[in-house]
Amino acid sequence: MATITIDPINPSQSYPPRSLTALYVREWIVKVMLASCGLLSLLVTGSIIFVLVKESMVFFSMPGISVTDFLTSTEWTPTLGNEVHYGIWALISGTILVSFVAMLIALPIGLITAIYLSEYAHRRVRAILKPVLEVLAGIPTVVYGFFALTVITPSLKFVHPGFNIYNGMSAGIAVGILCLPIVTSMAEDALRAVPRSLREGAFGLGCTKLEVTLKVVLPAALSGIISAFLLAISRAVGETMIVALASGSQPHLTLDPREATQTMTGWMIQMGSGDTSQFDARYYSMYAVACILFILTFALTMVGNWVRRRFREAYE
Amino acid sequence: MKSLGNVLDEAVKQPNSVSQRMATAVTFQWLCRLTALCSILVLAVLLYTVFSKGFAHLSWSFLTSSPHPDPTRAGIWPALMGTFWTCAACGFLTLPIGIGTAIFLEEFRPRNRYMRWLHALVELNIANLAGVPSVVYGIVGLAAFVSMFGLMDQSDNAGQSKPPFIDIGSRYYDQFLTLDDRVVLVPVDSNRSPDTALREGLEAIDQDGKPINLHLIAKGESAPDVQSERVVAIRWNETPGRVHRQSWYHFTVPFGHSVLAGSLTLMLVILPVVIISSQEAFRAIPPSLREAALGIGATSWQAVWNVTLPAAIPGIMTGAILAMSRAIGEAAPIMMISGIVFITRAPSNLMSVFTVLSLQIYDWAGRHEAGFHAISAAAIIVLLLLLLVFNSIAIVIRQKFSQP
Amino acid sequence: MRLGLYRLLAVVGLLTGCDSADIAKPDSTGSSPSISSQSSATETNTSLQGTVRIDGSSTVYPISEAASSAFCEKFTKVDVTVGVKGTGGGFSEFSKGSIDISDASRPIKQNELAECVKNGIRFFELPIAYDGLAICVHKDNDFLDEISIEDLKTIYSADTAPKSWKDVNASFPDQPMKVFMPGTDSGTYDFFKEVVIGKEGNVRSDLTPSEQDLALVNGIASEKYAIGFFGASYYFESTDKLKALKVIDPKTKQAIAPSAETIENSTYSPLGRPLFIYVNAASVKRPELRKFVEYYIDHASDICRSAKCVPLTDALYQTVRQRFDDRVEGTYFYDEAGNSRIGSLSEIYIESNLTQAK
Repeated sequence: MATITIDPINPSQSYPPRSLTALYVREWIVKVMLASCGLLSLLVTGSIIFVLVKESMVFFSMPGISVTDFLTSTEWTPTLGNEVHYGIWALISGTILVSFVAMLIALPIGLITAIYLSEYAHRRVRAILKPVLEVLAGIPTVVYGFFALTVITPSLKFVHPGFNIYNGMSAGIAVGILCLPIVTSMAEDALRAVPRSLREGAFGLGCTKLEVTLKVVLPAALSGIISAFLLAISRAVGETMIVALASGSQPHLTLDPREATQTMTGWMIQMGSGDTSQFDARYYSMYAVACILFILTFALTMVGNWVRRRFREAYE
Repeated sequence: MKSLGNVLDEAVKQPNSVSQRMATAVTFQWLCRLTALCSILVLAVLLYTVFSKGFAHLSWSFLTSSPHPDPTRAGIWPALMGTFWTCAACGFLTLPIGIGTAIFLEEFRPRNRYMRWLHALVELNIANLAGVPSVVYGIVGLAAFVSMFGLMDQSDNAGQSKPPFIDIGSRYYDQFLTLDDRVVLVPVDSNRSPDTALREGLEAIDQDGKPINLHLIAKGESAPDVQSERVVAIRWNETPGRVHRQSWYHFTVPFGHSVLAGSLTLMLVILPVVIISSQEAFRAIPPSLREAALGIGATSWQAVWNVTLPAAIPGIMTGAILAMSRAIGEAAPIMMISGIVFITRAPSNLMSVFTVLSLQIYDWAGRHEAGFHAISAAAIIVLLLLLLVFNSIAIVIRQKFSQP
Repeated sequence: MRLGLYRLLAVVGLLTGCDSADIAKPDSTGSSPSISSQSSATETNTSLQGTVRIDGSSTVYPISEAASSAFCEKFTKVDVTVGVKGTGGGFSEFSKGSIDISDASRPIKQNELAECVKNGIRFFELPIAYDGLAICVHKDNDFLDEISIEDLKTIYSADTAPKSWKDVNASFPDQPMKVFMPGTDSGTYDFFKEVVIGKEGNVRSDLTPSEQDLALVNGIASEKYAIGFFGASYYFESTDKLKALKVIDPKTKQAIAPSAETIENSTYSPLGRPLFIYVNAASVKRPELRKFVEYYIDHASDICRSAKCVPLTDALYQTVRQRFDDRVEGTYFYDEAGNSRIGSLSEIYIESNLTQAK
C-alpha cells in the first residue's frame, strides 16, 4: 500500500509521514475512547438503578416491612406509635405541598416575566432583568434555605401567627424563587423562537399587543413552555437543602402549608447524613424513597421531552 | 393549535370596543412590569439580608482561621479549601469526559443502525440524568465511591479499620513519646507493617529531624536525670502510633469520606450539564467549517481536533464554568458523602477528610446561637463572591469570543 | 446472650491484656512520672502528629468540638475531626473501627455492644459531663408549673395520646396541645423514652420530632399550648423564651427545676443524665490519642462550661482519669444478665458494676 503524507489542515506544521493504516487505527482508537465516554453516562444510569434497587431490596426484606404498606400507607412512623409504618404517601404529600406552593410562585411569575422579556421589555430593561435572573439562577440552594429561615418564615409568621417555625409554605416559596429563573429562561427561549412573521401577521390584522401575545405567540410556543414547567416541577421535587433547612422534619399526611412537613428529599438527607445507625431499617428506607423520587423525576423529564418533540411547531 | 385564521375570526367577533382592548393591553403591560419587578425585589431583599447580617463579620482572619465553637473566632479556611479541592478535582474529571461525550454525540454521526440506536439512547439518557435530583447522586456516590459497594467496609477484627487496599504516596512512621513527651519517629515500610518493637538502640528520628538511637528504660529501671539522656530515653511500655506523611498525590482505595469521593459525586451531578452545553457549543459551529475540513481530506477526528473543537472552546468553557459554579454551591451530595464535620485543617490531598463552604453554611445556619447565623451569612457572602468571580470569567470568555 | 459472649471475650482480653493494661501508663518508678500535659500546659507542641477521629451525638458535639478546638491550638500538628452522626450513627462507625472516639449521650446499647464484640472492638467508657432533659412550655403558660413523670407519660404515650390538655388533667384548660420532641435518632429521645415511657411502651406518632434542637426551642416558644423536651443546655440558652417545668422526682416527691446545680448533685431526677465518650482501646496505643483523651478529661470542667454543659464533680473526673490511666475496659451500665442499670452516675460508675470484671 502506498504511503501518502496527509497534512490537510496546516501544511506548515511538520507531521511525521503517516501511513493510512496508522491514521485509521488512530481514528478507531479515538472513536472507541469517545464512545466509552458516551457509554459512561449509561454506566452512571446503570449504577444508579443498581444501587437503588439493591438497597431497596434489603429494605423490603426486613421484618415488618412490605411493598404494599410502603406504597399505600399514609403513615410514616418508623419508630413512633404502636405500629411501624413506612407509608411513602406521608412523604409524597410533603413533596406535593412544597412543590405546589413553589409552582404557584414560579409558574405565573416566571411565565409573565418571560412574556415581558420576550415581547415588551426595552433593551435597557432586558440588560438589567436578564442578569438579575441569571444571578438568581446561580445562587446556591443552601443560601435560599438560609433566606427561607431568616426572612420568609419570620415574614409569614408576621402576617399570620399560625405558621409553624418550620413550615411547608416557607420552603415552598424559596423553592419557587429557585425555579423562577428556570421557567423564565426556558419559556423566553420558546417565545423568542416564534417567528416575527406570525406576530406581524396578527398585528397587521389589527390585534393589540396583548392579543398577539396571548393568542398567537403563546400557543405557538406552548410546547416549549410546558416543558419548561415540567422541568421546574422536577427541579422542585428534587430540591433538598431548602426543605432540609426550612420545612422541618415531620413526615405526616398534610396539605396544610402552615405545618411542619417532610419531603422525600428531606428524609433522604436526614438519613443519609448519618443520623441513623446503618443496621436500621430507617437507613435503608432512604433507598426505597430514592427509588420513588428517581422514578418520579425520570417520568417528568421523559414527559417533558416528549411534549417538546411531539408538539414542537417547526417554522422553516 | 389555532391557526391564524381562527384568531382573525375571534378578533372580528370580539364584542369589546377598541378602547377596551387597548386598556386591557396596557393593564397587562403594567402587570408584566410589576411581575418582572418581583424578581429584582427578591434578589435585593436576599442580598440585603445576607450583607446586613454578615458583612460585619467578614475579615481576613474569618477567611484564614478554622471553625471554632465560639462564633466570633470561627473561620472558613478548611471549608474554603475543601470547596477549592473538590471543585478543582471535579473540573479535571468532568471536562474531558463531558467534552468527549459531546464530541461523540455531535461530531461522529453514526452510519449503521446499531450505532444510531446507541446514540439516541445515550442522548436520551443524558437528558434524563440532567433531571435526577442531586441528593440521589449523593446516595449513589455514598455507595459507589465511599464504601465501594461495601466490599471493603469491614474492620480487621483487631479493633481498627482495615488499612486501604491500594495506598500510594504516603510514608508511614511509628510515633513514640520519649521522656518529657518528646516525639520520635521510626520509619516503617507500609501501613500494613506490624508495630515497631522497642529495643535498645532503635534508630529513630527526633522531632527536629535528626537521627538518634533510643535508649530503652527497662521495667524498674530509674529514668535518667540528664537532659541529653532524657530526650533519647524511652520507657519499656511505650506504644507506637502509626502516623503518615502524605504527599499531594496520596491515593488510596477505597476512597472513604474523601475529597476524591466528593468530587466524583459532584462529577455525576454536573456531567450532564457539561455534556449538554458542550453539545450546544458544537451545534453552534457552522457546518461549512466542518465540511470544508472533511472536503480537503481530513478524517473526522482531524476535523474535530483542528477545526471544530477550537471553534467550540469558548462555548464549552462558558458552559463548563457555569457547571462548576453549580458544583461550588451544591451541598446535598456532599452532605451525603462527608456529613457535617468539625475540621480544623484544610485538605492537603485528594484523600483528606473535608467539608465544603455550602455545608459549613448549612451547619451554621441550623445552629442555635444568633452569632452562628451571622457568620453563616458572612460565609454566604464569600460563596457568592466566589460565584461572581466564576460567572464573570464565563461572561468575559463569552464576550471575547462571541464577536468575530 | 450476646453480653455473655462479650464477657467471655473480656475475660480473655483481661488475661492477654495484662500488659495492655500497663501500656503507656506513667511509670511509677520514673523520677518524674506525671510529666504530661500539665507541665507544658501553656506552650504549644508542634511535633506530636496524627489524627483523632470522633463522631456521634449532637449533644456531646459542642463539648468535643470545644475540646478539639482547644487541643488543636496546643498540639498544632494533630488533626481532630468531630462528626455529628448522632449517638446511633457514631456507634455504628465505632463498631466498625473507623473512628477512635464515639460521642454518646446514652450508654452503649445491647446490639451496638454485640456489634463491637463481633468486630473485636474493646473500649473505655468515660463519662465527661451531665446533661438534663428540660421539660419546657411556652413562657405565658399559666396552668403548669411542675409536672409528674406519670403526666409526662400520659402526654407522650401512644396509648393515651391526648389531644387536649383537659385529657391530661381535668383542671387544665380545654385547649389542643402541641407536643414537641427531638428526633428519634437522638440520645435525648432514647433517654426520655426509657425513663418516661418505659421499654415496652411506644411514643405517640402524631407529634413533631425534630432533628434540630433550635426548631424545638422556637417551636415551643411560638405555641402557647405547647410542651416539649430537649437537652437542658438549650433551655439555659433560651430562658427568656421558655419556661422549664419543675419535675417531680417519683422517689422523693419533690419538684425540682433543672439547673446546673440540681443536675450536678442529681436532685433533678430522673431526667438528668451523664454524657460519655467511648474510646476505642486499640487506638489508645497511639500517643496523640492518649494525649487528647487525657487533655479532654483534665480540662473537661472548663470545656463543659464553655460548651454550656454541666460538668461532673472534680472527684468524678479524677476517677474517670484514674480508670483511663488504668485502662479499665468495659461498661458499667449493664449487669451480668444484660439488664441496663438505671440511677445516678455516682451510683452506677463504681468499680463493682464493671461488667467486664465479673
